[in-house]
Amino acid sequence: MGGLSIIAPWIAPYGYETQNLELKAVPPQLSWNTMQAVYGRCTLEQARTNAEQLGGALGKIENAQVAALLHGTIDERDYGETMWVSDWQGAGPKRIEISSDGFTPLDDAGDEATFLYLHSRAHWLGTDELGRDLFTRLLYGGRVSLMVGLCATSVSLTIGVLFGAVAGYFGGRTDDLMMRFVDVLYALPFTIFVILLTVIFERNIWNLFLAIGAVEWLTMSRIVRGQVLTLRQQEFIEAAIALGIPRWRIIWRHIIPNCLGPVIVYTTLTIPVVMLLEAFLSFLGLGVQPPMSSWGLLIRDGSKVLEEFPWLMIFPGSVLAATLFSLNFLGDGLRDALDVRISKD
Amino acid sequence: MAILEVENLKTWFHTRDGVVKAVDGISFDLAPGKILGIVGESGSGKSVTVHSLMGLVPQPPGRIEGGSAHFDGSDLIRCAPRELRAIRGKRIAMIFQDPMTSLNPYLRISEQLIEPLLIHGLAEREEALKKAIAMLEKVGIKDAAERIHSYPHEFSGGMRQRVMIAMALITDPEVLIADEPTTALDVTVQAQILRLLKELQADLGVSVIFITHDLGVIAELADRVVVMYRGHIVEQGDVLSIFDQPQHPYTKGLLACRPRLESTFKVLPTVSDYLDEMEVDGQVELSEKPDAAAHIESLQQVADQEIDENDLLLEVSGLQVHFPERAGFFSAPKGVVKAVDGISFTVPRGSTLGLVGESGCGKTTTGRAILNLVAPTEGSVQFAGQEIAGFDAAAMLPLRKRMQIIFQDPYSSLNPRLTIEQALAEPMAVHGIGRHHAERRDRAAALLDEVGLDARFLRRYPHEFSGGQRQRICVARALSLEPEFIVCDEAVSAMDVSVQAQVLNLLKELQLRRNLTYIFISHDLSVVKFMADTMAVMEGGRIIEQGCAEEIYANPSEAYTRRLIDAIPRDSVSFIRERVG
Repeated sequence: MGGLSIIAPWIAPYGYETQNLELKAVPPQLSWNTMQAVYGRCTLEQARTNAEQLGGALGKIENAQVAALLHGTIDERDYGETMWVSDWQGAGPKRIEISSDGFTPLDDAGDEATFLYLHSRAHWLGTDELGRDLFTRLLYGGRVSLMVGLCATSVSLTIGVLFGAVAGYFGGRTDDLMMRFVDVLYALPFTIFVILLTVIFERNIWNLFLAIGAVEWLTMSRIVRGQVLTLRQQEFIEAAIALGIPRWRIIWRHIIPNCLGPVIVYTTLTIPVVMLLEAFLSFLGLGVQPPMSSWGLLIRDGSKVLEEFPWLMIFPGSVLAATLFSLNFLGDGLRDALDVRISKD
Repeated sequence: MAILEVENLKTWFHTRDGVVKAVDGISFDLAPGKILGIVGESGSGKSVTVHSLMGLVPQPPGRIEGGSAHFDGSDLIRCAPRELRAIRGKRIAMIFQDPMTSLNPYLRISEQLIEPLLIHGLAEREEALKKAIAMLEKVGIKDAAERIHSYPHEFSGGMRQRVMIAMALITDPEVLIADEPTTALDVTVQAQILRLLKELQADLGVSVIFITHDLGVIAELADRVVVMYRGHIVEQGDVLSIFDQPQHPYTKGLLACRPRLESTFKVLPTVSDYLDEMEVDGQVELSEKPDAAAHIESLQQVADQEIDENDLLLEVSGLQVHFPERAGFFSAPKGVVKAVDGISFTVPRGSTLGLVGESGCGKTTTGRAILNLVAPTEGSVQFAGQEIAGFDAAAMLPLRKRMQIIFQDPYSSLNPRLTIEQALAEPMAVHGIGRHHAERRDRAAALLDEVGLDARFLRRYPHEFSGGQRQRICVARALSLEPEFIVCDEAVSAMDVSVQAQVLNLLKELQLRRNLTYIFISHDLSVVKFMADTMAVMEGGRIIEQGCAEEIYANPSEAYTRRLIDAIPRDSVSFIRERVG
């Protein structure tokens, strides 16, 4: 899903803001067959109007030529041409002729009741209360959520690991001061802090990442500091000092790599927290704005209508869960890959 | 009639890399009221043996492939878990190696002591407490009635081991299994614990299986000895015959490689001087090297180091290191711990100063203060005529090349994430030794060769090496900067005697070849005696006696020194003969 999200604009069947008010809160289905258009003999003009209505309702139209019609590329020059219209509902493809009278079914001439099924791509995951395709919104929302998840987490990772490593390594008074600073930040109400940050800086999505990252690093720095304090007791650190290796190099080469295990685990736990934080901020009007969506937002919206339209909760929820599972496995894999003790030979 | 009969016990570990036959068909008997010593180096299977008896082998990967252990009519290997639980802890009790980690730090001693009594339904709470206090007194803890309510951290290592013994004996077991109970302790504390075990054993008539890597401990304690090597018993017999007439070359090597106060070896014999290992069809065959004695004799033909007493490399005078006891962030320090309290000594170039004392006497802090790893509070440290006390990191940088340190724990003194090559090349890169990567790698390979390791090991990580090999790597790393002076801080204390001998020989050899000056810190006087020219005895942050090592051993003027010397386990045949009677 994550991978799909990245290329969302190219695969999404509808635009993320596309609405169809007639199709509000439709449950998921693979194809759409109640919306049929009856095209008996009709004028091109009538067909176009019909198709426009229908096209609007169904988003995109499968049949290339009907789509072309909609976009006004079929005109008088195409009179006399025939085209095949596929009928997904069982009957074989039918040939119709485009004439000045409009579409005329050829195979069953005179049959007023010939149906032209304008097949639409169905709403695979249903639509929301505003008639927007959930699948599309999930894809687009994934872009925001993943970006927030990864960017904000890496911001918090960078600050947290460096801060924690420095505090733990230097210890004593430096450590005390740095950790009290962390305590102060912990004590600040988080929303106020983020509001402050988004107000001071321009409100855009990048600043949102920064703001969330700037809050999330606190716990990370504590974890790292704890690790470093135990590592500091290890004799190889002392040996490094005795060998005259500069402090920064010791921190970078000897300390940080050795506390990666818990850091990676905590990182994979941070990502979902960050995604939900983003939803919360968006709700307050500080994050992404509708009609743009994110997984967090979708879940929150879905949870409000869980009883009536469960799919609005279930699908975003399972997508998020699946993503987090994958991240956890990725984290485990990374930790093992980085751990030289699990031998590679 | 033996109280415990182990027959053909096989415990194998099925790992990814194949089957490890940790214990491969061993048989021995434990006679009632006797002490059986199982001796062997790490990896010989001695711990796995007793863990198998107690049902403590992790399964998988471990599996007991066969054999039996008969204890009072039931087979410990095959009996039902419920039956085993009724025996374990009640009729067969166990003491573990590390007293620091084998007590639960969150529970009072009293709770932990009475727990076995309550679990096995041997006593009610009130009665159990009384019994626990009596037991604590028996293991030599004064004011037991009050101290029983303390937490483990309020006890020192030796005291904790006493508590562990009390805990094991409180259910009045018939068999006590002690798995290296003194290895983590100072020599002096070890001597006390051994004496205590001996007394308790005589007093309570309990049968003891005592596991150790140190034959000296066996000599002090055991009635019968089982020598294990690579999962097999290579020799067993009563203690006198093992020490008087060892049959197997491995036993001979193990006996010879202990540094002794009375011996005059310049190079310690090692097990490999006696033992030939040949692999024939996947089976290791052990045989004796025919000319072992002559070979060891020839090893002793090394020239003595020429030492010019006036060429002082290091002069320490009035050195003090005080640690403030901090109460809180803003409050002033409560007081100071005087770790090192005004000590002075000199070390001539090319010689070794031995620094001995019990843990907490300040010997380790002294070593660190000389290298400016902890800041000296007062006093002067002159290195090659230059005053270096209190230098900061930048000022120390050029000196780091010239003075190095080797630590006690070879497991924590190598960064697990760096290959051996990286570990050796990094200090060279920092100090600009070697023009480029390839040159540094060649140097690293040469260093490995010098400490007796294969240059192929360069690309491996520390976890792939044994403790002794790691310590060699640490030595190589210290040598990578070509220092003149090395502080060896308990550098061999964590090792088996057989490995210890090899590392000691290596250090001596390097000293001769590179004209190195050592400060050799240890709690074990026999090791210091082997290494040191001069020696200083420390107690409570002060040096109470110093001078020529030989003389101090011959005529210790302080009672404390006397005590340290007496604490060394005696293993002479005449002593054992006298003890066994």
